[in-house]
Amino acid sequence: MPNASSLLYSLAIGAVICVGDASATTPAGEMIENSASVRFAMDGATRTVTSNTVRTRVAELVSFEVGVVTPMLGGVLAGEQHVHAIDITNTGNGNECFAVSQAHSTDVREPVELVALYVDSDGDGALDETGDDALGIGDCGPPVSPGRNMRVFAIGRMPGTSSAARAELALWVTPSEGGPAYGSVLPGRGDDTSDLVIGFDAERSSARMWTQASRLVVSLTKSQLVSGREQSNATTGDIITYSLLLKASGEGMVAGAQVSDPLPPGLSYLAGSLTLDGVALSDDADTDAGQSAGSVVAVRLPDIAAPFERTITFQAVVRPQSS
Amino acid sequence: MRLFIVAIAALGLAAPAFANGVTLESSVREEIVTVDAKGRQTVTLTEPTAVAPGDVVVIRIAYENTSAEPVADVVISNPVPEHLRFMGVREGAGMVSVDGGATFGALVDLKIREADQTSRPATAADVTHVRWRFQQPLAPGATGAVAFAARLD
Repeated sequence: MPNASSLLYSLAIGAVICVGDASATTPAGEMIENSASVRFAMDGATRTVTSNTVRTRVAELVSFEVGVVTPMLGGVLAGEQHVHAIDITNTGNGNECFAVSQAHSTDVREPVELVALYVDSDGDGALDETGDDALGIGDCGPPVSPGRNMRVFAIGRMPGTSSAARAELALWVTPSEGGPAYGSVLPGRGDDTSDLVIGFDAERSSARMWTQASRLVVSLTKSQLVSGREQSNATTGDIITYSLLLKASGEGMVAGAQVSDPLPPGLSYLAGSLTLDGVALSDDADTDAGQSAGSVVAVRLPDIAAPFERTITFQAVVRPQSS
Repeated sequence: MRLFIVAIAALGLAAPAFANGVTLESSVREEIVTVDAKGRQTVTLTEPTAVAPGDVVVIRIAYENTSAEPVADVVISNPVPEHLRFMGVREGAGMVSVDGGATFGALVDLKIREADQTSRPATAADVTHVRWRFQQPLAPGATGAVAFAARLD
């Protein structure tokens, strides 16, 4: 005998089965055929008669949904390009192409500049300018089959002149039949010359997303100890320990930072003295972060998200004046 | 005989009467439900223009005893067409089948046997056939109609 919890489970499964699957919609242009039959007794015999076959052509329903992949991107500097993305899903039953353009409405006070659009042609979810095709702003893109999804990347630029904390990107999405009101029927304009039914509301076919301005502040401070003492003059033979403090505050990603310090004449780098946060780095131009070539000490850092601090130290010896 | 019937249907004419017996006329209408400002629903049946996924159609079978005698044991059956999902009987005391026409009953009494041998209550989406069994013979010249509604997937 099923207990309460197993009964609930089977009801839940039933409910899932009842829900239609958008991708299983009947294709536009398909023919629905119906015919009935009757069996009856007459004159002692059983007879069967079939009705006419009624044929009804399935119309094309144009309907789609827009999902925002990047509702908010943070840490973008003024004038910097960044990538937003939206997903357009064809919830109708015919092939459709979709055009994306920027909404310039009065309630978008601080708009992101829309630079370019790309379609995720290779379907990997990420923008890659070799594998993904450019999409003209306002041009209808490649056809999307019923139930399928097309990801569109929007390259935006944070306005250079504004001091606003964030900018907004509002995009309009329309299929090729954009214009007629919801519920309109356009005879013969669907796939395979079926009738077309407008099943979307143009007012609601937009996507809004935000770009947050960067509040990243990066500083580099250099200090020195001369033979262990804080002072600003040194004599031949003194060993100077330099400390470079790289500090990032606020929020944002500091990507590919390279800290380099050219030594002034008269100082020689002390081999093997380079460290990053106390860990020794090699002097050669090899796989670790540190390198000293001639009189330039350089440390390459990985991408690090603010806030953080990194300390680089190295030593140099004061050479005799004549050498 | 079967070829003859198919040819007539292709010409768009009604089913040929064998000269005596019951004739059937099948038709499809779109069912539109409108709701007024007070929430009152009005159901209208219209010519099926632009039937799109999600729309509801009513399949109606008009019958007539064109013979000079009563006919007995009348059973009208209609398989639910592909792409349509049964929603309910609209005219006549119809029973449904969820096993391809082998057995008929009221939907509330029917069960589906799953692959793992468990059974669950049948739902409208499981209906494969609709059938109307007439309790009384049809008098000569008697006419009427049965109907059911279905939603286009």
